[in-house]
Amino acid sequence: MQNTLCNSEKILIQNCKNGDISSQERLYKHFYGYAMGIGLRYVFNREDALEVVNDSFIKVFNSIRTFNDENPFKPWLRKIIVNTAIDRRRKDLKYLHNVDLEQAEHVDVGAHVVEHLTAQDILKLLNYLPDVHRMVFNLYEIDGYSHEEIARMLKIAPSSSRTYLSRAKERLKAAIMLQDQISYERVGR
Amino acid sequence: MKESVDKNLKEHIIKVFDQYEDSGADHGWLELRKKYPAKSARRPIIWWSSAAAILVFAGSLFFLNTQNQDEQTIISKNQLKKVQEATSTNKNSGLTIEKTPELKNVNQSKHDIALAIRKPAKTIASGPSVSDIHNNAKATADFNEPIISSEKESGIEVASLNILSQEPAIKPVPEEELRTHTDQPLIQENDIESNKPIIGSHSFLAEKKPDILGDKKVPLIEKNEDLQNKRMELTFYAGPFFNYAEGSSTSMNLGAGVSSGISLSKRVTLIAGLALAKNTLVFDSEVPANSYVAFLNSTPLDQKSQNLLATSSVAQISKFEAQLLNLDIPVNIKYSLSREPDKVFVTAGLSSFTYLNEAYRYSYNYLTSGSNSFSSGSSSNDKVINKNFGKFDLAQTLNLSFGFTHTAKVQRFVIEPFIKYPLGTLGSQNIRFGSAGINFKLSIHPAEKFTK
Repeated sequence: MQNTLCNSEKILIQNCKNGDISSQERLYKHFYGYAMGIGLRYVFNREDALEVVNDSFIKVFNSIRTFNDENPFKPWLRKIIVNTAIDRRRKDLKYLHNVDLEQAEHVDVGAHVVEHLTAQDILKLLNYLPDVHRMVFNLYEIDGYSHEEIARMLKIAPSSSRTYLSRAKERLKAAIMLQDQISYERVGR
Repeated sequence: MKESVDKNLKEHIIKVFDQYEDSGADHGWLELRKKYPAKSARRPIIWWSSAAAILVFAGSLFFLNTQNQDEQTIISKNQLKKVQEATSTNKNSGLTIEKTPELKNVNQSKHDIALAIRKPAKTIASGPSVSDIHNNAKATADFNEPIISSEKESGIEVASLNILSQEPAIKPVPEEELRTHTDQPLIQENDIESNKPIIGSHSFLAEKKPDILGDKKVPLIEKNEDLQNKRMELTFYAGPFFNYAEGSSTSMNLGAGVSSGISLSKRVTLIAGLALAKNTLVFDSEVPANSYVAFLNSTPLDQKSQNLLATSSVAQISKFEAQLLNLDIPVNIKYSLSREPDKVFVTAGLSSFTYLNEAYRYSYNYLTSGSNSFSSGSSSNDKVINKNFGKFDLAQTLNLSFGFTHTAKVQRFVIEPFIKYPLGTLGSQNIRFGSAGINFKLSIHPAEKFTK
């Protein structure tokens, strides 16, 4: 008689497979936050992120019959969102590949600063990065892809992927330091 | 130091975005629906339109078929009468064909009867060459011609020809026999002079007269019976039935409907219909998973997340009742097991459903989690979810039945036990259930009165 949350999620997915609209809505709203969290990391603003998320959910609903209930849903959804985001930015990336690689500027950042970053702070920091740096950083550091996989996805050389990652991290740290400095000065006044 | 910061940054970002909350889900869903419109929203309209179109089409077919059959029956009766009159005239004149109006009619409307014999006309046309004689001879020869289509001149409709043409009332005559008869001059020289069209005592016409002129009525009547069998019939039915589903207690329900069948062959009939039925399912021990999800979906979001997504409390449904008032659209094939039409038969087919009303009633209370176990809340709640015209389930049950027919005058009474085995789920909550019962049927042929 008692149905657990886990079962509910499975049943939701099963109903989505049957084309039940209310279950699709429920699934969408349940995973919306998670999906937006991924989408926002890959694009520059909320509107673009929402488009990525919605395009991803359309792919989910259209292909959910192929999803194996025995596997967790979140990784599958994440993969779809990441691919959708990359597809969306691919054209822009063509031009961004030619950005000159400057010498990475070494910046020291304290661990305590990082721990206080909110989601909005992180998104702001990511916005400091050029598109391709941001993509590589997200793919490698957060979503766990290898440089070889990233190279195939973004159609760049694996060595470029490594370089972009290194640049991204240095820029992020510089940005974090800058943010920290600004905050410190505000408190001092 | 540097790697530690990188690791911290990475882990912090993962943590933050794994728990990321966003309040724009409702807006996002609306945006999604613009790109991905619900297919189901237009389904009821489409299905209702389709169902209405099918019914109108079936009704028109039925009406036209009935009218056509009536005309055919009346015409064949008139035709028979005329031919019989002609026969009696011929008998009285002792095998002498006189140009009575009836016979003229027969000669003029050569195709009315001539279709029965399929011999080339030239065999007989080689007979006497005198014009009057030739006219008579031609009349005879015309019997041998194949079907001719200009029926209007005789005032008799084409329909009657169709009846005759299915199985000729008059059998073809062997060529040798025809030649034997036609080698003899049909009419003597004296007769020519006296302008008396007399046919020889052993003429082909004399021999075949009874067949041609309708003494043998049986084949025509048999044809009519065949046609009756091929007509559509209208059946009204009603009967009690039980619903069955896993975990549900059975309860008796009633259904009623109308169906129409058209013969595909002597023993096989295609039947389509429309029935209204009320289905009731009561679950005391186990609620179908889909119904539980529907219950969750119908709970307000705050309460839902509090009660269900969090593990602190869980709704326990003590009783669940589903009542579906549905329109059943069956399409079945009927096969007669006995030689007598439809005396004993079996049917098999599929049913599609749409729902005029669906009512789902939940009796539930909350279980609150303690340290080690759940404790039941004191108050019991009821919740009813209603839906109208929510869904169309295409071919979701397999229909199997057998029946016994009792024929009384123009009506036929049928007792038909049946079972509907679920092939899929039914209703907006996708419950899998079937039904079994007995239908009491009354079948009528609307055009029967014209032929009796």
